[in-house]
Amino acid sequence: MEERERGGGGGAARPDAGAGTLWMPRRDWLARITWWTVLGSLGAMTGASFRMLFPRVTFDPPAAFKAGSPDEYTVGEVSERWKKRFRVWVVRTEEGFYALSAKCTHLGCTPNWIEAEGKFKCPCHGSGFYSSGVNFEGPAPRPLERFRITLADDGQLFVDRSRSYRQESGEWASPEAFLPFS
Amino acid sequence: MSPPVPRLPLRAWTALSGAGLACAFAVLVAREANPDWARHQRAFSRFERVEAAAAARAAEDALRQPAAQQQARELASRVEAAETALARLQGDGGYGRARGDLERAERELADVQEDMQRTRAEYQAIEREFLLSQNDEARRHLRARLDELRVKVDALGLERERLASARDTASRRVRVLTAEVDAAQAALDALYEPVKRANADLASAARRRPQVQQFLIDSLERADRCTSCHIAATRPGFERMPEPLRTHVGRYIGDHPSERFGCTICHGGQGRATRLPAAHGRVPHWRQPLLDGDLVGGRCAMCHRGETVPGEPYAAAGRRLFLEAGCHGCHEVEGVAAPRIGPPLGGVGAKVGGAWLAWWLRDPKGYLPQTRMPNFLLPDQEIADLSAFLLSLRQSSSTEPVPGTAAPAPEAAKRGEALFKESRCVTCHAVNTRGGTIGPELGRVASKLRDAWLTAFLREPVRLSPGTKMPRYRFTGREVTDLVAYITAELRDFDEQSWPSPPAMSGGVEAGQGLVRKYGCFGCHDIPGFERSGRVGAELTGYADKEVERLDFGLRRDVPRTWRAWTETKLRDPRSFRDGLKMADFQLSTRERFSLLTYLASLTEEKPPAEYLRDAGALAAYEPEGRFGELVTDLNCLVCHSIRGRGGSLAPDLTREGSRVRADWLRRFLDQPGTIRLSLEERMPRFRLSREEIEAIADYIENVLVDPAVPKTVFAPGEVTPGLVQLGKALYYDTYACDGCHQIGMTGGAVGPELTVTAERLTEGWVYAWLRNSRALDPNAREPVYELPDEEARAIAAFLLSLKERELYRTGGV
Amino acid sequence: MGQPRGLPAVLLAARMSVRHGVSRAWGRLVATRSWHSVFRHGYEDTRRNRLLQVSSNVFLHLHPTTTPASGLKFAYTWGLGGLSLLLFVLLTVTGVFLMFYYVPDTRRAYDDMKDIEFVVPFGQFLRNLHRWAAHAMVITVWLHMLRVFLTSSYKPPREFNWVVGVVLLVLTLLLSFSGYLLPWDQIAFWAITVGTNMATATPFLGAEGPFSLVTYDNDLRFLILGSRSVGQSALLRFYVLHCLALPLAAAVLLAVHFWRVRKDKFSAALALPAISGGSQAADLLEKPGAEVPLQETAPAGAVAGPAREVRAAAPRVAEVWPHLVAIEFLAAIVALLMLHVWSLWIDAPLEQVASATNTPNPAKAPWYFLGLQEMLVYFDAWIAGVVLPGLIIVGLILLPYLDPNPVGVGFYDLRHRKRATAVFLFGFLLWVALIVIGQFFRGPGWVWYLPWESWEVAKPVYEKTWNFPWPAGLAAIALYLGLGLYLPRRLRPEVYGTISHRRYAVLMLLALGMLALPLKMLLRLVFHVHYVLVTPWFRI
Repeated sequence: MEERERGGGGGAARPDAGAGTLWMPRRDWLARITWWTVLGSLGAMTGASFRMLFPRVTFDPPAAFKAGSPDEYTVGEVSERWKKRFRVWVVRTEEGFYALSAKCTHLGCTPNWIEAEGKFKCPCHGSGFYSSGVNFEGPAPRPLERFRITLADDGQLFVDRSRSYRQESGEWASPEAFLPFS
Repeated sequence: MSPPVPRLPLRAWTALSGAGLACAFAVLVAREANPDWARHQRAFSRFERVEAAAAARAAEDALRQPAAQQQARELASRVEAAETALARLQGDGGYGRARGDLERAERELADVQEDMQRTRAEYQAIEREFLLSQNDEARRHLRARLDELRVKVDALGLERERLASARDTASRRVRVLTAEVDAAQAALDALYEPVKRANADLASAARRRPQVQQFLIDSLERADRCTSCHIAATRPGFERMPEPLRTHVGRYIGDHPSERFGCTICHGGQGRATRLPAAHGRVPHWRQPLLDGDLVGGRCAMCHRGETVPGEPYAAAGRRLFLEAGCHGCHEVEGVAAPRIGPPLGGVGAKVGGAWLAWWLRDPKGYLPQTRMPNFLLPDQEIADLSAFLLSLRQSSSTEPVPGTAAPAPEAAKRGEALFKESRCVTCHAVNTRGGTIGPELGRVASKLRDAWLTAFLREPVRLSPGTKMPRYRFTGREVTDLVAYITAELRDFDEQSWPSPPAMSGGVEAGQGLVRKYGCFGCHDIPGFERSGRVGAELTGYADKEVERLDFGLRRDVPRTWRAWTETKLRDPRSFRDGLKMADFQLSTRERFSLLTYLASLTEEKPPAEYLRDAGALAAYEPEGRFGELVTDLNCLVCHSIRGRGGSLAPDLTREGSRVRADWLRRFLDQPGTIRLSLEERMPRFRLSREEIEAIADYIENVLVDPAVPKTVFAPGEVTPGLVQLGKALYYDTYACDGCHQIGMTGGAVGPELTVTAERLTEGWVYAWLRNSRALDPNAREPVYELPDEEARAIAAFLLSLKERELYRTGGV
Repeated sequence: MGQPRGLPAVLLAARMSVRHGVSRAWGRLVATRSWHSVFRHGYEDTRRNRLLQVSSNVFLHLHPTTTPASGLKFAYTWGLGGLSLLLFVLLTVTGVFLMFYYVPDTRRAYDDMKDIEFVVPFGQFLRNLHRWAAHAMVITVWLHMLRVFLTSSYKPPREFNWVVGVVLLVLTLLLSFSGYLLPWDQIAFWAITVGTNMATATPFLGAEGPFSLVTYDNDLRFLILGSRSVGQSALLRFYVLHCLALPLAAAVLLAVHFWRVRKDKFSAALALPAISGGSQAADLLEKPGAEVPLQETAPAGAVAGPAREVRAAAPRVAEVWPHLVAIEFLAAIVALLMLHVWSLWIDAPLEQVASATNTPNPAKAPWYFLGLQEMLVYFDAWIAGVVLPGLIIVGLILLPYLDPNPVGVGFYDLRHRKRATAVFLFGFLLWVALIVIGQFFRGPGWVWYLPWESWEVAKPVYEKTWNFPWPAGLAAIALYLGLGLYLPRRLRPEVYGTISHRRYAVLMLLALGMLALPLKMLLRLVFHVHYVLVTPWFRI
């Protein structure tokens, strides 16, 4: 009996309720409720503080944009027109268009397009990519990602950066990863 | 027990270190206390002080002159006399009383005003209470009080008005009395004014402490501190000081106030810096270093889009060259849009001969020195491939010979020659460098073109060569044959044997097509299959700001690592940096290269806000409508004439033609074009217009191409009297000597148009309006602007309109 | 001989009377109650005053009032801890002044830096001081850690203080990292881009890490940056962290750190030649009648015997004021002097304004993270940027708990701690070597360039590498771990058999982790092995 008594009440006698009952001296109950509520509130506050660190809106540049009419691109051209504003290369081949993400798949630097050598080269660690986006040298583990590219109603190219496609997962075969055009 | 007090070395070291720290601070403070800009400002202040001292001395000297002294004495005595007079009045009671009145009036006015304020304050307090009160009794009471107070305020207001006017009267009276004294004193002060001012300048120059000066320009997002050292840049008068204390050259500062523009927007450099070399921006990690002086002129183009800035010919010349040489065909520049400069190659296979083509591809300037096509330095195989491809381009144009023509007889050639001369082909086409430059040189054209093509072209230029400027002359079939006979006989290279031989190997059409894609020929020529292709060269938008690290110096170690050096080298020797470069050799002169360099230096990424831009007026390009439009397109009128800003400058502008010429004259002219300047041989070709066509053109001109500012009638009935005509004649010959430039009958100068046919040709309103203000009607006219007063203009107009052509030619003059 | 006459006499008399008057006035002032309310003890040089000087001053009572003479030895601590504190205070002060002119807005931050450099009087100097002090603090903190290790001052009872110290080390690096972004120039932007991109590779919590549970919009990198890319929100967060949150946390932990040093007694105080056996022996000294044994690992000159005798043999004790304080003062002045001269001479770098689309080549992390960036050559980001640094920190924290050898506290005992010293020094020097490589031997494209080679000449990177097939890789790793865990206990039971299995396992795993780096470097550089294990989810 004695061993079950806690600090709590000043030795008040209690009825022999047997093991398994919830009866306790009032002070224990109070203490428990207090602690649980206090700690619970603190925990909730901590959780709220943590959630506060994730804003619901960010102010990054817009994800999708119109990239001009297809006529403005030469066959075989890697256009850097949108690189600065949107970090995208628009490439036109004989078959059509695709939009490459100008973000190196190694650590996210912006590669440069070397026209003379026909490849993308990342200045950070030397990753190299073919004009298709496939990596062939340096530490980049996978090819550049492609963005969704379609034709808008007014005939312009429409690039949507919120949807990206990875070659290594076979996603380049997806219909919106490549826009056939001739 | 403790070890002894810290031994000497420790203390010594501490003291030494402390001293070292103090030294470091001393160095720091010394560096901070005397920056370069403070030094310059102090030097400038010293200069200013010297100048101010000299000015003060000069002013004082001027004052010490006997004349000035005399004047001073006179004025002083005048003052004294006036004061004495006033004093007398004082004693008399006149002035004293007036002053007393004035003072009293002012006191009373002040009292009443104070009363008014107090009463109004009380009113407002009670009003507030009234508004808040809920108690009817109290409200009634308060309302009564409010009414009382309002009455009082009104009364006070009236009182105040009365007192105010009384005060004014009193003040005026006093002023009248003191008028003389005041005037005399003012005159005396004026005499001493220069000295006082000079001394004040000296004092302020002495007091001025060095400070960083800046122009904070939010709209351009910059803070320029250049004037911390370049102190006098914005102040005129210091043109001879050494730099950096010198005034800015020219009127640029006046036209571009520094508070709005700053300095770095034109000159480059790091405006926020206050010491060299950072301020001039010629340091690592600053992308816009100070521009070399000779290139600054290019920056005008950032705001002055499209218009030529006086005193800065190079940037505009560079821009013109950029478009004329076709640079825009390969290099995109934002905001620059121009058509392709080369001829369309759609039917070139049927147009030119293979031998010519090979020569042309090898060395365009070798065949035609004035051509704009650059040399692509093509090896033989590529020439062969390209030739093969180009010769395969045959559009479905009719190149069959004109039916019914046998081998042309020699008379045909003679007839053709006559027609050639009659048609004034040399207006647009040079023959052996003599003639115009609108169309191609024709001296050896027969060796270039295939006859069948030439024939078809002369018949229907636009169909064979879309976009051509050549009008449709409406030659008959026989005329065309004659012309072709002439051209083939005479306008050929009789030395064809000495032409360089085409490459021996055969070329592949596919390979040629690949070469077209590689070199980007479609940048200058319309080529079937490449109509929608882009540009093969690097984009040059913002080129001026390109970091030198991004310029590929390749294998050339000898080129200094600067933007300027790279660009100059590229313009001079485009392929020298490494193998595999494609840019052609344009063989530019030094002057042309410098113009382009200046233009390229103007292509910054800066986008000045809209309020800074001065577009030359982007006129909506004029499009002629309806039947008139059809005819204009068919006849290519706008190659020679301009209408509403669009067209050529070979022939008069027709924007206001409807107001200018008489209807009947216009119709006659369109049927048989003459000339209005006897000294010229050039005249409008006779297009063999039908009646209906003439009517359509004239109708449009009369109704659409008019200027509402030109009145339809000028003279009231009966206004034109012989006296008026005589007056006009006198003004014409004697006062203004118009015959110096204009011919009437057989006499007069040949600079301006002859005026004999004025009455026949020009409308009344036009003559009058022109004499009033010719510049308003034609900004580019060479006639000096006389801006004649109304009466004179009417007189001269009357005179001119009275001239009868037949008489003049008969009599030989007026 | 005689009294000076005339003017000199008058001057002398005047001077003496002035001095007399001043000293009398001073005496009266010092006797007032107001004076005593502030300064509670006199300033005459008595022993009592010397002790009171320390114990009654809130700042100085960081120190004990007396310390054994060995505690005065500069060549023991080299003043590194104190120097770190000095630099922290200096950084705070210079930082506050810089805050008056800097606004963390991406549109004007760079211009504010230019203004500080050019139009704020002493602005350039202040900025230099701040930056060089920051670099110096990183260095002194590392060296302080090294010193503490070499003098075994982390051994019981001082383990917790070591842990606090490691946390302070991390805070120092974070402070430096967060401040690095504020100038908003190319160096800043890209260094932080590279650094935070490693966070995306975190396993589970990074959008690109193995077994990712999150997307780009709520992964660890988003938490750090407040956005998907480095921009205004990142700048503001880093500013708040740098100026407020991290300094506060550091200040609190510093208080704990100093408290523990005092409570556990300054370790050098134990390096009394009289005492051997570390803190246990020191405790014995307090107990009258105790016997202080002579340990095997006793320093030279140690004595053993009854506590009383040992105490008597102990060398003298010095008053902290003025002896220790004088040395500290000198050290502080010399440090400040060096820092000032450096700041006068060399300007803190500031390159072009930050541009998200213009990547400099090469883009390097801050120098103290170059080691991690170099490791990226040999490992994927999730290992090089997350796992290995994590292991380093965990390893450092656990160090006191894994070191079974209790000897050597209070002096540089390399003889009896060969293994521990070797391991620690190996890791330390490896870290330094990686930094040196990253700083001086890596050029554009992260290609190997000797320090004197010009970066203008582009070097091609055509490295053909191959990967272990996955069965072989799995086997290799299993072998490595298995042998690493099995062999040491087997071959050296006297060393490794004495500690518990759990401890042993942790110790060996950390050691194996550390050894994995040079091994992988060897595999890569010599055998051109890219990955030892390739799976669809991660690669090692």
